Amino acid sequence: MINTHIEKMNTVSPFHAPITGGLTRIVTRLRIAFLLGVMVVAAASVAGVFQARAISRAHSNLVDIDIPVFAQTHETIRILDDVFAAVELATVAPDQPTLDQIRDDYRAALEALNTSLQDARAFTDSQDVLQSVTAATQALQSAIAPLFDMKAQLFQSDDRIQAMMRDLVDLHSRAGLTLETLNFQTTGRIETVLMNSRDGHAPTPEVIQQLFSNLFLRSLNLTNIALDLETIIDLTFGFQLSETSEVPASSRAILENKMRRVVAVMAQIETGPERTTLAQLVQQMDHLLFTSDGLLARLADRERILADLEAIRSARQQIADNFTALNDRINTEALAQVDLASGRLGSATLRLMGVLGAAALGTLALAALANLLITERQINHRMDSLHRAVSAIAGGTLDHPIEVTGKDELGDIARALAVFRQTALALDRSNVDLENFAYVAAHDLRSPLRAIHDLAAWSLEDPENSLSETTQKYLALLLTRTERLDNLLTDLLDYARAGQKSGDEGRVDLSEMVHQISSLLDQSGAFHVHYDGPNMTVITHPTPLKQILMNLVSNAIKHHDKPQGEVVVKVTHRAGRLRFAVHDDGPGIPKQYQDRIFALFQTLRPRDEVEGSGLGLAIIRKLVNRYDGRIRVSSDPGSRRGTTFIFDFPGDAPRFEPTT
Amino acid sequence: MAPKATTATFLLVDDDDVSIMAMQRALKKLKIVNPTLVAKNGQEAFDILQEAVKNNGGVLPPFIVTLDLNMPRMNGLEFLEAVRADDALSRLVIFVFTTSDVTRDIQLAYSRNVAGYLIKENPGETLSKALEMLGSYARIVELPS
Repeated sequence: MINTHIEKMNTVSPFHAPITGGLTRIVTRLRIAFLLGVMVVAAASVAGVFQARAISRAHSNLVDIDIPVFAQTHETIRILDDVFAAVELATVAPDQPTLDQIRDDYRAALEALNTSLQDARAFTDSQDVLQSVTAATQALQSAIAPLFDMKAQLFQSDDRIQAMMRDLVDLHSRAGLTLETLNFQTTGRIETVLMNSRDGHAPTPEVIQQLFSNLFLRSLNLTNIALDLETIIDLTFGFQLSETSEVPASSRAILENKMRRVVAVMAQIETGPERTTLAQLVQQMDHLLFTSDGLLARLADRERILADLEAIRSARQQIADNFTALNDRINTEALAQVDLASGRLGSATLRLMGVLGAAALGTLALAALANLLITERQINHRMDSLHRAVSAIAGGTLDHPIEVTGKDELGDIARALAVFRQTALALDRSNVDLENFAYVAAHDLRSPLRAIHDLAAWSLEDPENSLSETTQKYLALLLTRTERLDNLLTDLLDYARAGQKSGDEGRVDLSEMVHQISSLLDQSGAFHVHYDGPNMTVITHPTPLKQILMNLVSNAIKHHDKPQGEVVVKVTHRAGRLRFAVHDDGPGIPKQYQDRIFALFQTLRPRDEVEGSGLGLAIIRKLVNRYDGRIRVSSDPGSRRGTTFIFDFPGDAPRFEPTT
Repeated sequence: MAPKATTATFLLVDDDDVSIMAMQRALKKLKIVNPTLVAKNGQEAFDILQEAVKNNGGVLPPFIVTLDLNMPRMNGLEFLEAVRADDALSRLVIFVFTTSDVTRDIQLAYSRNVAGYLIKENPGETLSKALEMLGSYARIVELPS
């Protein structure tokens, strides 16, 4: 019958899951998700590289162009400062060699300025500024160019003036000597006249006439000439010493007047070699002072050069102001350039950060989405559902729904599980059918059995039946056999019922239970049934537990080979399970039979010797198994007496009670 | 065998002759002298009861019914159904006497207002005790009339 069931089950629902080698579909989906993530990251990287290149460009612009322009501008301005410094030095140069030196410096600075401007032209894009600078530079050059020549002229002029002044002083001193000589002669003559008159000779009117008209006048004239010449020299020195060197027209007129007076007074002096010498000297002085190439002309010329230099100075100031303005403008523009480049750099950096941030967000979102869609929904959720279904079905809840679908491996497993469940349901049904059959058969067999028993009993009971001794003996045997059959049917019913969980849990005092069993089975008191375990109340299934213990203890007593004996029920408790060991001191069970004792209808001794259906241990095992327990036997009659049945059963201690 | 108005009549409903015999023997042993009727199935019992009602002027005379559940034609539960549906018979005192100890049977029987559910476990002993109780019951309890 079981075989036919199995065959039937094999044909329940042929299930063919396509077996794919290599990649499973779930893994493929995960890999696609990973690939998408990698692509997002790659796209972000490409975008990032573009942005990084933009940053690099902005940076190199800044470094290669904008900052150099800035630096170049400053360099140009520094060189300009050099130029201006050279010009300034040139203006105050004391002599020609220094001027030459400064001129060289100036030329070098100018050269450097031109080079710098050439360089700047290569960098900058603000050509108008450059043109302005160039124009300003050219203006500067053209304005400054005459400076050095003029300065040289000034030096020449100064030298010449110095020389002329020396000549003038020389002439004046020579004229002074001549005048001394003349004066000495006059004084001599006056002395002579005066001496003559002191000798008693009264001065004659001629003498007096001669004395006054010639000698005194001559002396006065000589003094006047000396004073006038002195004045001329002083005035001239005054011109030469004045910084402006300007010779006012009035002063020139005074000079000419003095000179004319000198000449006029000289004419009144009598001729003589000294007068000729003096006249020559005065004429030379006059020539030195007043000719077109004379000292006064020189001084005027110097004045003109100084004015020109002043003009150059003020023009240079103008140019310097222009340069300052340009400088400011270039500075501003260069700063603006640098600012612009910095701004470009900053915005490129911002864009890069944006791209990277977007990439990070995108990757995160994709990961979250993949996690939600694939890991959570397609794997975790379904795996969990499948796990619950498998656990529930494995735990015996065969009607648990299998909610997992889909065209992948999990779906295949779910469908396979559904097939297994069908199989299990079919098996369950067939087991239930079998149990029902056993139950109904046992039950229905009892009624006619009872009738047979009753009839036999009545036959023996009723005195009006005159039965032979043999008939009575037969009837008595018939009664015992019907009783045996009735016991067998009772056990069969128990066995059939053992498959159903009784369900109800209750508190049980194990010690008390063992005591009850003992008093029920061992009414004679020949057997001692001990309880060895914690004095505890447990929550367990009392009915099947009592049935198991009862059967084991009754087996121990029933199969004992001596009139007295001892049975120990040892209990330990751990992790929601009770572990029982029922030990007796009977003859033990030989090893070779230990496998058979749990099988149906197996007895080790004839039923006429020991009443037994051969179902007791089968019922026990079925009950223990029903509550997820295992039972085994431990006995070695070869070495020592006794048998121990060890099994576990669900049971939780609400609390341990102290031993009273 | 017309029942007296005051004495309750036993109606034994069982398809097994030996069971009936056993019960009759037990009654006899217990010296219970109430009139006893026998029906082989539910339908027969139902007919007997209706006949009794008709003969008693539409009123059910006192009856104590022992009812087996597994019977041909009309089984015990069907009989209970029919009796409770019949106005005249609805108050009938019925004890279930059966070998079935299936929980469902017990529940169904009690939900149809049986006075007791007795399992024929240990043939001789249980039966006689149960019948003794029924005899006492018949003497002591005032039945509806």
